[in-house]
Amino acid sequence: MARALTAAELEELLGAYAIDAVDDDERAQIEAWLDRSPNARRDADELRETASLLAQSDDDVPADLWVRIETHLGDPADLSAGDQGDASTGRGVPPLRLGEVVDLGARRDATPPAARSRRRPWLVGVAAALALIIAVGVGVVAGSRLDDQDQRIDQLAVGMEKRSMERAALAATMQPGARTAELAASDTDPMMAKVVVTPDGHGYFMSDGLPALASGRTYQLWAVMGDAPGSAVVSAGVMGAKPGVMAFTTDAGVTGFVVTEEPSPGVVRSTQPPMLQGRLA
Amino acid sequence: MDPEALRSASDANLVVAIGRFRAEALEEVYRRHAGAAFGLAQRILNDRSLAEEIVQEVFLRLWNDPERFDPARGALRSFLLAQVHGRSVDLVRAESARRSREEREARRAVPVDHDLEREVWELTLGEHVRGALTALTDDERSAIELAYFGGHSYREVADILGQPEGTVKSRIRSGLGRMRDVLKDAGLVGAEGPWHEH
Repeated sequence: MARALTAAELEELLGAYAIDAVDDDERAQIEAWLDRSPNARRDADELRETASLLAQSDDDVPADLWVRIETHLGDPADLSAGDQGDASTGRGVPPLRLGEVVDLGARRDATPPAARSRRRPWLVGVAAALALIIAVGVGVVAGSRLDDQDQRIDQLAVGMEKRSMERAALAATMQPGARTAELAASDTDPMMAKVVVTPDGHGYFMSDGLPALASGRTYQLWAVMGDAPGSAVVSAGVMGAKPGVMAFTTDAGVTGFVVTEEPSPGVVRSTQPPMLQGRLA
Repeated sequence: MDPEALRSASDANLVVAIGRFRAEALEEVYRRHAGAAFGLAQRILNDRSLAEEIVQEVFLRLWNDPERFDPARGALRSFLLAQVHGRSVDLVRAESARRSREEREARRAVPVDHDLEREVWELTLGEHVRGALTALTDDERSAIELAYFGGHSYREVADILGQPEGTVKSRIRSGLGRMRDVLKDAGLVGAEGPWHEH
């Protein structure tokens, strides 16, 4: 095990990491760092996207490659490796394990329609019995695939929604007259979240590295209405255990925001001390 | 999904359709991006048959695990190319693959040409990317091209160029960062990138 890299060294290695030019130990340390730092993750993603623009020239793909891929679409995914690796690079995925190349044209030619029509009658009964067994088997597999499918679609939908919300938040930040509040545990602590409020009362909360809470706990956002001591504090939304970007609406009189940790599904009135707070600028 | 709808569907919608096990959606993604994927793999591996295997693996992986694509982290094309790059580099660094590649290169007796400008010349986005490349110093360009297209680690690049590892590491970081800034200003990287959904 190599020595632990400093934050400055990790930052310096981000370019080499984005183009797969670091060694395994460095990559492991960088990925652990990226898991803790959304800003660094965004940087790495952008550097990787930049590098991918260097590789846009299309080559002539072999004509039969799609046919080979299509042949394997029904194969079960190999989940034996356990570690699914980094999603963005395919690192840590199982080694190449490709099936034989199947020439579908040749296979079709080998069984001409005339030959199929000359099957003996007793084979029809055997085939029907086999078809029933296969149908039951396919039913079981199909049921399991439908469960998988629901999960896959849910995950994809969450991804799409998250991206659309991030875009809306970014647009709000750039809107004339928008006010922002940087939320931190104290004036001397680093910012952990940002809130932007547009003049028409649309607000977005953007987490910047808030740690995930334990099961049964949730973050809750509160809007501070007014400057006077004892100003009213109203709930602006319950954000879950691992907030990303959340939209809410508020009143023009809002002057700041507070985040507390509460039992799920949130509370009407908090008795908890603020975890984060910040004033709208 | 009819052929016209497929052609006009966004990449993100195609991935959702792949999630519903629609093979024609994967075929459309393949039609859009397999050329670039194959070109990159071949450039790194210098071996058509290995490049085909990599492309096959990456597209089958998208079929089996479409949820690994996170649209918040970049475009589908970048996602696929990053996977092709990572897997190709893995193969290059495997000792046997490296040996056979070196033997093939020696037989060809022609040095592999890692000319970044030529690489991007024919791109639709070529003008912008070329503009971004001019923002780099020669040293930065050499370091990036050897690492990205040669499949070398920054340590190997330092060795090849006879420069300190720290210098090469910094040049890759600063060069890519400057390119990113230029391409971002042009709306080609980040949320407004050319392969992103709008």
